[in-house]
Amino acid sequence: MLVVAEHEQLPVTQARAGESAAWDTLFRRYQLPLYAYVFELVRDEQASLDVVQETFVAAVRHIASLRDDSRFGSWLFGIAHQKCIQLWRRQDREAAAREELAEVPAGFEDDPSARLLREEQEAEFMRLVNQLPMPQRSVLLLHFVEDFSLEEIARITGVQLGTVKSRMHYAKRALRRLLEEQTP
Amino acid sequence: MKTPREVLLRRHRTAEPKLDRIREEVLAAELGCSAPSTRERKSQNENLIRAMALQLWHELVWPCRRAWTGMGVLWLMMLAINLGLSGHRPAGLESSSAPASDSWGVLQEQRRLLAELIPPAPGQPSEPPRRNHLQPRSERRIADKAC
Repeated sequence: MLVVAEHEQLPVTQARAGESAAWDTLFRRYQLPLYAYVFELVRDEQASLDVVQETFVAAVRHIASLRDDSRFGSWLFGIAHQKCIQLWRRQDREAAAREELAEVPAGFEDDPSARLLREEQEAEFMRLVNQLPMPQRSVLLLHFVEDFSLEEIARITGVQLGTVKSRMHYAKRALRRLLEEQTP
Repeated sequence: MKTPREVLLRRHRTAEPKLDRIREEVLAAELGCSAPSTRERKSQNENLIRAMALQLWHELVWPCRRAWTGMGVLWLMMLAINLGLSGHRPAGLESSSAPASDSWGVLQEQRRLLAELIPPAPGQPSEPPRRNHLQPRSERRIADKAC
């Protein structure tokens, strides 16, 4: 089952007070989902580890900017997302993907995340996800990895809610089409 | 069968040792500690015990605080009275702390006096019955003649 991060009891208050044990708990909870998300965006192990490290450092230094403790997860993913964008800018890659981030289409469909995957489909599924354009892949990964709501994904990626909805719609449609093409 | 989340996380499980190291490094650099130390865990346990004690206080003592206060005052009064009494013992009670040997001697003396003063009961024989009383009268006569 998906874990809804916002309903968990996390020691954010203690982390604000500078308790290292609380930070340890928070980082343990998010390190793998965060890395998975970043890796699927940047496709480079070392760069992904760097982004996770920078995200952790930024979180410790700027925890005061978090207004609502229950949104720690989306706040942390938002930092990671911004770090990814900074990385792309630095490397001056994927210019087309960055242009797509500004597009605002509309529409939203049913949720295919409930689809369960068989062992042999896993690798194929990930290959298909990686075929999606970057903005669509980003919202789909955030939806899959932490079950973030559309509003939270909009906050994380820093775009309008309508944009997120449309990207999710196109991402799911494209994924479904790819899956149908692969299925004999 | 797995959810997309499980698929994604499983694909990256191999990165966990590196992520652990990164986490420890960040904690050490930013917060001046490598990981939650034993001291911190101990302090967490102490906090937990303190919280439990506080909860007990709030749930058991505080709602009946007037009753507990009244009982406390009563106990204090009883203690004060007890201490006051033990501080002023009457003279008669002090003699009771005489050595046990003296008490035993007095008791023996009293028994002896009682034995002298009270005569034996009238039905009670003063001497044990003689053996020849049990003999038949004819035998008793023969014995007397022989003497």
